Amino acid sequence: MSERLLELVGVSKTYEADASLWARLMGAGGAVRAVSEVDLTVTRGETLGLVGESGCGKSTLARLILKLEEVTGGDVIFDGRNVTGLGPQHLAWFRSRVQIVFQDPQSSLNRSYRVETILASALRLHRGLKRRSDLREAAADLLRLVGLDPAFLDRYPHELSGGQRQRVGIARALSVEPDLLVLDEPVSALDVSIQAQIVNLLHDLQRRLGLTYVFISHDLNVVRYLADRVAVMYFGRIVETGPVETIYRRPRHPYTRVLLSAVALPDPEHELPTETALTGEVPSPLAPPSGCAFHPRCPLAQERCRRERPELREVGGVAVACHLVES
Amino acid sequence: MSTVVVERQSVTQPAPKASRRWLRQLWRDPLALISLVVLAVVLAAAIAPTWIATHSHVRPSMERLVPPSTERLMGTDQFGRDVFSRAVVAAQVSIAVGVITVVLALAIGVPLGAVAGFYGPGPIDTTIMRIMDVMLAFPPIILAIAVIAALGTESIEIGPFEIPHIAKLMFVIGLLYAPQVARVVRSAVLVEKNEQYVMAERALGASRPRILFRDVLRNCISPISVQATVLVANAIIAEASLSFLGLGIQPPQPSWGGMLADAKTYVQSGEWWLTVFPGMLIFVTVCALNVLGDYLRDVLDPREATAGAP
Repeated sequence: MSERLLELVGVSKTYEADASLWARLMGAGGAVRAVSEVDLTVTRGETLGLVGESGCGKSTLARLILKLEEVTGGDVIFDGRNVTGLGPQHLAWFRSRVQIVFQDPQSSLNRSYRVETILASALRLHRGLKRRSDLREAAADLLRLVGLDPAFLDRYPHELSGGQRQRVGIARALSVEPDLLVLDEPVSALDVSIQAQIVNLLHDLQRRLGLTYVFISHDLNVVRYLADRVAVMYFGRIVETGPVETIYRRPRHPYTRVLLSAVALPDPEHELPTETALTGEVPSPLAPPSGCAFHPRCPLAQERCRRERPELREVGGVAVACHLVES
Repeated sequence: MSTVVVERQSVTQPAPKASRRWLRQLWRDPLALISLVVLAVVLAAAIAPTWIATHSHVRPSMERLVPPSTERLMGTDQFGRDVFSRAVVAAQVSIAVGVITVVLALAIGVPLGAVAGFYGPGPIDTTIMRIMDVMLAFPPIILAIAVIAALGTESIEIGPFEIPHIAKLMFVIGLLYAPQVARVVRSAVLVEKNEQYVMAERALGASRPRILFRDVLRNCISPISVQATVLVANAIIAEASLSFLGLGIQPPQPSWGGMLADAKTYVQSGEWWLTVFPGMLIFVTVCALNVLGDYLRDVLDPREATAGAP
């Protein structure tokens, strides 16, 4: 039992832009770095919020944590064990301890199967249940756990509402009794009223089951409510990470400041940052900018930002990757 | 936010059973209903021709070229054989060739297309699909003619097995239709494999073959059945064409295409029943199969099942 449940050490993921044999022979086709040298630690029982714009590498990082894709650099250490090159016999162990909930509950449930079959498939794989009645009983328990009536076992996904589907998605992830749950924008596709229900459910489940969450979202208010610590990603790198309240009250990285200025926080004492809205696009991953990846859009960029890439360093309880932040 | 209430979601009326839904949809679609009746009649003729046929389908009689009457429903041909009875027996050949051919095409095409789509892009996908493309590049009828011209229209013996000509015919047409199945399956799998449930199953530790054959292919049943239905129709036309050219079913065994070939000299001399009835049977059967294909596409996709429901 390690207090550090998940550690990412210099995790990188590079995709070949054109993987055809011809392109490789001709040396054509660039490489895309989706995730670059990410260091992260998630402590048992906490919630880490991962925020950033679309395309910044959040979901890729989620797939790397789940080992749905292999890292091209660095190590993923889970519960004190390096799982980077895990063999098939240990993979089953890993699969039973780390699970994921996806953004789109429409697509994440197989539309051809009833809820019972969807849940039973996982239960059969991990809990070794064989008898049909046992499986049904265990599946019913899972539905009760996520606040659904067991009568939903006989429904098909298209007969459920978005919120109900997402509850089934959470139930499936919980079927293996995992320690770590990666939540990849679990409420982004839902109605606002349903979002609150699901967020409350997640909060409640964490307390009851002692789960650890990696919560990926671009909804900063939800992250503030659920997360203990937050990591801000930009262009495949972590630019700022620390306790959620510290960062929300005093964002240091220019990108975090712009990000937070774009949200209305329900806090009367909160001072609105003065930065203007972000201009420009996320740079093309095929032609990454020199130095700090944020410099083309940064209102404060200086000559040094164009040349040198800032490293993450400790500043007042948080870690920031910016040249301009004074220690 | 200290007390969190987990909402109990109520259970509404359960959805109607799939079979009930299909029946209801069938009543709303008269064209599909008619097609189903037509196919049922043809199928009955194919299964039990002796119950339906009124005369012998091979024995000649003195009543030559008799026009249709209540006694001779479709008249008689130049040898005095009953056209109706011959058409009924010929239905058996057409249906058998159509169905067995497509089963063969599915048996070859579905696994190839599924593997190509699921494990692609890469060398597996490229190898399989380029071979399929080469086969698709040939016009099937011409290729079938070439193969049958090479193998002959007699039954052939391979070791202890005697392969009848009709089996050769089915094998050739089935092989030629496999690439069409493979292409449809591959494109359906390409769409399905990007659905998030595939990733969810992988996260749960399901193996790739299990995900492909249990989850992904299950959701490809709709395009596969549509394609299969249309291919049955195509195979019936192919068999009729080959029989018309004298390469398919050999006389005196009747087949719709062969009956047309025998009758072609009588088109101008006024014996219309010799060509019209077999031709109509081919036309109506093929049309019915195509309509059925459309109906299946509408009814098989569970995502569309809620459409029209209150």
